[in-house]
Amino acid sequence: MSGMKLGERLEPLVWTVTQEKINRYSRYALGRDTANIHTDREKATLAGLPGPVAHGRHPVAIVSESMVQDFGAAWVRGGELDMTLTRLIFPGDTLTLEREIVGVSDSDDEKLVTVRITFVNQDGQPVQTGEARVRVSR
Amino acid sequence: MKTFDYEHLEIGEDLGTRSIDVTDELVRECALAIESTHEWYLATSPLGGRVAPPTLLDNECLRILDTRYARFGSIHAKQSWQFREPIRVGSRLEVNVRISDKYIRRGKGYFVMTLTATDEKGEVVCTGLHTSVVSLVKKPVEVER
Repeated sequence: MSGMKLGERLEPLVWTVTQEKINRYSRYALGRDTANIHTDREKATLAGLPGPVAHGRHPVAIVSESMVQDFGAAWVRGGELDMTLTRLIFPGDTLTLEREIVGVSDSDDEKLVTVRITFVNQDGQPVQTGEARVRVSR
Repeated sequence: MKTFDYEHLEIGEDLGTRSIDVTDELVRECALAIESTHEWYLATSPLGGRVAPPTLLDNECLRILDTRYARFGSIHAKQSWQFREPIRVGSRLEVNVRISDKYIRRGKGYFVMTLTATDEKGEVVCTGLHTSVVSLVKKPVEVER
């Protein structure tokens, strides 16, 4: 677990998005293999997209997993996450997850830690941004 | 099926409740999909046995929405989660989804679904808010045949 100090940057994560990963997530999400805007170029084009795109909630789950890694049970039992999905994510994108502790407030028996979340693509553009909050026992 | 556009979405509408058995297979598929090999999902945890990734239910809003509305894709704009209790392998959850809000911002329509998952004891294990873009163009009502 991190030292939970204001301004501390948690371990960044680099996540490469591939069509195979998108297909696998889509299969899980929909319960079967289907041709859709995430897996099929023609369907994506019909929807006005330049090509298949990742499910928006796929990176949100990756963010949550990073919090499980850093905060363990405190995340699973009490974690809160608010994410805004700002840009489409395409196969071939390399995303970097940046997390910075922007708030630490103490009470008698726990700390409320607020983490600013930014997922940026290879061009430095944020694709998802948000905030996570987790209560950690002292 | 109801027509999927801004006008037809009703704030407060209960989209339905689905029972989900948190099986070994479901949890493994979820872990694989999100590239996790965490032992809590695949072996055991200090939380009293195996648990699922907290975002296990992230598909349920759209899955339940699609039982009521004829949707052809939608752009996901925001996602919030409040994780209250671990989702335990072997448990059965009741997952309810409601339309909790809709609004127009910068010329785009948005709607919000609220998910509430409860365990066998009736305790809430997680809640989620899913915000998506929805067309402001009124679509013709589909006549059931």
